[in-house]
Amino acid sequence: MPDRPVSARPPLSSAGRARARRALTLVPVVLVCAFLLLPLLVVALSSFNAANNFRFPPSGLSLRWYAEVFGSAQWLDALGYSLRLAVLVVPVVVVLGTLGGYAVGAGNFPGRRALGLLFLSPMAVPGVMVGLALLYQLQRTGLVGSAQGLWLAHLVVTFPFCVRVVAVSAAALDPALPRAARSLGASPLRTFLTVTVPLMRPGIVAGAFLGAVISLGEVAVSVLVAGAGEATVPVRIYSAVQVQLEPTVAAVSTLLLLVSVVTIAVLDRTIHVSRFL
Amino acid sequence: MAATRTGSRSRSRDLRGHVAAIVPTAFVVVAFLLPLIGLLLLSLRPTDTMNNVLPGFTGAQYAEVFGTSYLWGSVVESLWLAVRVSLTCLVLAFPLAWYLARSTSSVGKSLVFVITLSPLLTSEVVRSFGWRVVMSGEGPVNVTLQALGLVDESLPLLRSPWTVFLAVVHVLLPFAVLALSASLGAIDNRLLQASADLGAGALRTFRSVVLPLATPGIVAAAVIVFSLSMGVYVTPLLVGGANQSLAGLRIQTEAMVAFDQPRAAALSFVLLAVTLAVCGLVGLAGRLAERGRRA
Amino acid sequence: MTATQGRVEIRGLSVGYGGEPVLELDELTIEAGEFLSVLGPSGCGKSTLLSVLAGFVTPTTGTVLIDGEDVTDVAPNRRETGLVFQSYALFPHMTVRRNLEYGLRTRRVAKAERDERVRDALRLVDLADFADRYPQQLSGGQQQRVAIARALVTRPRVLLLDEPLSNLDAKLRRQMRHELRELQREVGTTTVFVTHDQAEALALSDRVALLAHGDLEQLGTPEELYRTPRTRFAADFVGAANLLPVHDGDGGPTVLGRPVRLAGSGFAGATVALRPEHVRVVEADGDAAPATVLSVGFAGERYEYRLRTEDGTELLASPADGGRRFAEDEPVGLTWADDALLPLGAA
Repeated sequence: MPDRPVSARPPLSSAGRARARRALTLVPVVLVCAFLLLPLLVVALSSFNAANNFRFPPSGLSLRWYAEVFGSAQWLDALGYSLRLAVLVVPVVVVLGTLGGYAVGAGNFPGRRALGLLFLSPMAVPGVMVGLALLYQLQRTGLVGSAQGLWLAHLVVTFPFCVRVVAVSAAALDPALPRAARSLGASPLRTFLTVTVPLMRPGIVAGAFLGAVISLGEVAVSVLVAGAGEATVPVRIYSAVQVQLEPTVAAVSTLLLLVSVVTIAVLDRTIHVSRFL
Repeated sequence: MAATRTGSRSRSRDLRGHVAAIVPTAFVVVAFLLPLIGLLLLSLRPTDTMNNVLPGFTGAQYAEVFGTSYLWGSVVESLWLAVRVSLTCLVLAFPLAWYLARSTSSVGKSLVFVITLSPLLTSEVVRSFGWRVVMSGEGPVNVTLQALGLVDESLPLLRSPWTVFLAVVHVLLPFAVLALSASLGAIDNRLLQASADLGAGALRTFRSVVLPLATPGIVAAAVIVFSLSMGVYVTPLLVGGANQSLAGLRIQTEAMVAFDQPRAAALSFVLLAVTLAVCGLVGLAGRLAERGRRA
Repeated sequence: MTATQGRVEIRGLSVGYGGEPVLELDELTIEAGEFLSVLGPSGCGKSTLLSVLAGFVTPTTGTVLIDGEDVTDVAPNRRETGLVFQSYALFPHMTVRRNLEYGLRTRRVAKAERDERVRDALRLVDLADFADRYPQQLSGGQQQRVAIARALVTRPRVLLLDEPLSNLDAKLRRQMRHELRELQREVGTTTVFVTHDQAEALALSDRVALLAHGDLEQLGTPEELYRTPRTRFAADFVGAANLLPVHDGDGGPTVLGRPVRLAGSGFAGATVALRPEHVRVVEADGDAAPATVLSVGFAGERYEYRLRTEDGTELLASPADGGRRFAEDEPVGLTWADDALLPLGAA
């Protein structure tokens, strides 16, 4: 008993003290969250600014910049292009990512770990380098500035994320289930399609959403690979921001932001995406 | 019937996943590995005065990279930025990761999780644009400082290297949080209770229980953040402009402005080599630290 | 009911993954309609044997024949074996009905017949009302029965059971043991039942194959394994046994200093097994082997004793004839009927 300093404390306020300490540990959490949110909130707020500037706080609120975006052929073209690209990228990367994530997460063959590193490597190489390598390759095959080139670039960028989330799902698979399907007469392909894929669905859905969001926001590689004709929304923002700060950019950015927020909310509700990242 | 099978090993027909791996492997090889090898070959090509690529092999581009302070200096600058960014991210990520891994409030956890992920799923250009607005002459930071009477006229924050630093930290912080929370979540709660029960204070528990067990997560977070910040170029360009000595920016400038692709290629491979070397050292240090503790 | 198919023959089988073989079986034939238990401790190769029969592992050498057809190289989905997993491996994303239909759909059984067979199978395992539930909504015992029904509905030539009772609690396990036996009698499918529980193996089987370290230790009916174990391992693993050395006394062989009559001759250095339930604990007297009670426990119908004899040998006894309870440290005498001593091989 004497070696326990507990008795020396005033017994009265111990509960209050514990609460105070818990509140104190929340302070850094709140501060860091504020840091993460600050630029995003500022973008959203300034998009409703009535004046043609970025003065804080805004002098009035209006939707004029959104009206301007939806009245601009350039922005509408970019939005349409970005969406079309995402629609072409997502199904392909989901198939690739599902196969790859399954192989890496539930596979049982020599070289599985090395393969996992290979699949994730596009994430580890700087975007500017991936872009440069693809640009050079596309130049040599005459595809530079083509839609196929940008499509390929987006597949390369989104693939590792897709693989990762599917691999988490695949690793949680009970290996007895595909075996049960085989012993019930299913071929390997049938087993994969009727048992393995349905059981990996949360990871596959998460991969699809991640792929869509990343494709919609990708810029580092796209800037190098994209030709003059096909500017995605982020590429147009990239060019616009270098010239001067336009409030229309804030409006477009807020639209992109909205897509991300909705995506995260949907993911967290439906499949508890926190398990996958 | 006699035994007709021969061979020294029994094959397990349960060899799973190797067929599924074929298509994605082919994709990564064709769409990523081969272009990267093409880039490596390009970095070894000589060029004429008009930056046209000539046949043959030369190490001249690499000699140029190491011999020009404009190029090699940018790698050093990137290294310095990446070190600061990694350390800052680790420190800032810890409270969030701890909260995500340990909090009992599911609402709070969901909220922190969404906030953590929101920058990750937001385009880099949007975030950079946000920092431009935040740090601009009439932006919230300057307005606040002036309102508090701390400064008389707005500060040129956008030209400060600290703004770029903050923006890069902001871009990469979510990666650190996710990597850390995975390993913090794996720590058995009973270990913390045991430590407290044995009379250790919070700080001591943190140092002698949490930190050692979190080492793999810390190493993973450091490696991810470091390697991503080494090549970062969009955020610095949009926030701080093109006149910064950072390797990612130089690569982009060499390739897209000076049209010297072989030199850009050589610089990018030097950058990659330095990045991989540092990541290897960090990983080794982490493993040694773990082994040393176990011995 | 007599089965006309499902005779399994294993010849010259050897399975190994690079290093030491994990399973070697010269010859094992399972008759059509037979219920064979494969019994052994963990790591004895019994699960490997099941994987070989189901087709998930190709042996290094040897052949597996089902009804005379060599299936050694036949893929698992073409073997027509029904496998029931320890974890049941019910598809969580399908209802009970869909689980049962799975094997019929792969065989392209027409819908009308499919419905009928699923209905029959569910009735067989008493789960007719649970067809539209998901596996997670069933109890452990119900999941177990679904797993068996799913395997049986395809009318496999051989039913393979991998420790199917080990995830159930003790009471349910005992009940399922009987149900399983009755079910097998009813459908008459050749059944291979892998278990580490000797009581299960003895209670269920026509024959038991005892495996140890990848080798067949003994093959026989439950009675044979219990009454005439051939090795120390068999004696000890199937039922408990006290292993006692035989000494050469003046007037013949002795065990624990008591003269015994054993068939045959030359017992010096031999070992006999004496089951605890065949040891009689009596008041200390000249004729019985003297011993001291180390501990005593009450086990319902009988007492269980741990005893130490004068020469330091420790043994277990749970005499059938109730008698009085001897206290700890009390000197007692031990006797037995000579035919309770089971002579073991040299192993």
